[in-house]
Amino acid sequence: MKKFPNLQRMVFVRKSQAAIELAVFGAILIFLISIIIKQGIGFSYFQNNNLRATRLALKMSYDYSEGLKIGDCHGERCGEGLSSRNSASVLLIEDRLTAESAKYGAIDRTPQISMGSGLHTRNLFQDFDRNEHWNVPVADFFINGQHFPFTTAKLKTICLTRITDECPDYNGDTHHDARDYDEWYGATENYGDSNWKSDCSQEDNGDPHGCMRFYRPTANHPANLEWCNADALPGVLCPASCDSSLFPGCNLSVDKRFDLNRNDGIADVPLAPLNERIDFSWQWFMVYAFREEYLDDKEVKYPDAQINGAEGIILHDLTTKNTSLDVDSDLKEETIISLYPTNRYGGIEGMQVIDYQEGDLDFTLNDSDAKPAAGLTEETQMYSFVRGYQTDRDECGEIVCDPAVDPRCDQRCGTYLLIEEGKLFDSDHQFVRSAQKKDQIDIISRVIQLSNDTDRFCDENTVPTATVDGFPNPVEICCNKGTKCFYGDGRQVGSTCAESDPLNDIYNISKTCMYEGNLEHKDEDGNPDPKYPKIYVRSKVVDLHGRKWVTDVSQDTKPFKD
Amino acid sequence: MLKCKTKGQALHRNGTGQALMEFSFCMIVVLLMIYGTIMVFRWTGLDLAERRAAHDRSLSADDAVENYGPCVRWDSGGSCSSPEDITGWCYLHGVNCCPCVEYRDMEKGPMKQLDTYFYKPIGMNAVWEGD
Repeated sequence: MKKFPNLQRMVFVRKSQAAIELAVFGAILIFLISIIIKQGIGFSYFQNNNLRATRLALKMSYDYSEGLKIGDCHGERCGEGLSSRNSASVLLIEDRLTAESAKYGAIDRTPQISMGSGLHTRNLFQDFDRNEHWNVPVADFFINGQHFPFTTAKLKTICLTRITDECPDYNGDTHHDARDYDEWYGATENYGDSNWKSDCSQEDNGDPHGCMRFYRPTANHPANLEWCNADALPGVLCPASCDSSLFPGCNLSVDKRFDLNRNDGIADVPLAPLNERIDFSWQWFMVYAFREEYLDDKEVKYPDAQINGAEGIILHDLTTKNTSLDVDSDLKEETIISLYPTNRYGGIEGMQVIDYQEGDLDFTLNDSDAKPAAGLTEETQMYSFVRGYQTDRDECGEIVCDPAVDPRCDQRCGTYLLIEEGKLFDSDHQFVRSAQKKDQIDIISRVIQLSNDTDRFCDENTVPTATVDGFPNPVEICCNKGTKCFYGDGRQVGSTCAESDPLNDIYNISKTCMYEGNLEHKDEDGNPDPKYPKIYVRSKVVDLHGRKWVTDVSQDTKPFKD
Repeated sequence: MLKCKTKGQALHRNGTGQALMEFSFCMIVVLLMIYGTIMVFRWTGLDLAERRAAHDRSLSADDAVENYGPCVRWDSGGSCSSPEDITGWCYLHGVNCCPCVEYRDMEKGPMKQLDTYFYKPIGMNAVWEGD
């Protein structure tokens, strides 16, 4: 067999083996160390963000309940603290630089997203009084330092009279700031007719008087006398149609009780072939807008009041009942805060409710809702801008940008990706070995899907409001149905939140912008395609990181040899 | 064992000595790297544990001042005429009151427990405790 001495020597050479091993395995070891450091810093960021979100939620709850922050409260109870953050909820997002080695330092960013909630309040049982809109629950979003206080409910005043001319005169109410009603439900359609019940109460002589009828879910339980199955136990036996019955537990026909979306009066829970109603968890129960507590007080206030069939409402009493009702036919309950004047026959003419579907964010969505899910979406983009040195003259020597004429010319100059090597002694006798610096802006764009345009961030004229909940408004531009956008000073800038036209001084793409939505929008086929409002959050994060290696020779008597 | 060369001898390598020196050098470097790895590994767990401990410690701190809160200093600038009253008297009567700018021991109360900057990360010290 022929031998190859050179190859043998090369393969079995013993010299420098340790150095080669060090080079190979040392590199692997250094790689492992770097992985540990990178992962460790990542976990550290994550944990820090989580704990901070929790503490921030506790602090928000404490600050508002103590009255240290009062939002836009202007009432007499502001100093006693608010209830808006009794159970505070905070979303904290920070885009942190990752641990990495690059020419100009770390450039990649990892989003740290944490949700925290906390309760640190002295106002847990504070009454939510009429017109105290500052007590509406708020969820706080903090995105790279920008604070977005989003309401999760709306305090709204509704009129319940047959015609609008009969709505209560709220201006005559001296409690807090008087205002008109927000919505009139006197003729709200349901089951093909209105929610108006023409004979919910009557006088002694039998003359009927009308009132609104509302609904709420009631649970399937053997002890629940409100449950009506019509032909099966457990529950109360009642006819398939009991609209005219005077029995309180049987105020609505079975078919309508199981018409879950309350659109046609036809039961959605079948009776045949299998009777699913026996085990079905809930059905609708009807309630009249009638102050039932005054039935016992006929001699004093409502001598002629009598209720026909269904139950009424009792508020602020030991026997409070039916205070959570679906008053706006959205198939979800609203909470009654206060009742406005009642007519001579017990019918309620107006009330104020908390509607958890009409805040900035609606967190009560279910499968029957067509609205998009509210909150932070997955749509995220990041842009990095590094502005280089810019001459004020073109290649022919002509002045293209004169700072004396346009001050923005100065602003465009002076940023850099800078590398310096071997700079000599400066005035402090420091020897600069090398310098690597950057001056860049990372713009991170996120989208927050809103459920309603509440005019808190953009007013009715599509102009950003100055403050939101007492804080500076983070929204810089407001856009309406895709045709016009406006700055806070009322100046029009482009037509969409994504527009960018430097020649016309339009930089919407880099600014936090709210699109107010278009609920009347139709698709190409003419079908309804409502567009709900969104906020495009543009975080502008300046990155001035860099490295500078300096040899300090100021203390040396003889810093270099002759 | 290395042998000294006499003057005039041709310079040639001593393979055993060279390997020994390289090995010693490499071992020192390897030991330093292993030390650094251990310190980094230690740091990853210690930093997480210390932050959690600091979080719990500050939230349950029993040295928070309980008698805190009343206003002790009002802003005397502007056109305000009387100290702000938390009962809302100023608003109801249309009086431009001086806002409170300092509450007594507010920072020593629950604010101290809820400080969001409650922890300073510990040093990694992979090689030595630098500054």
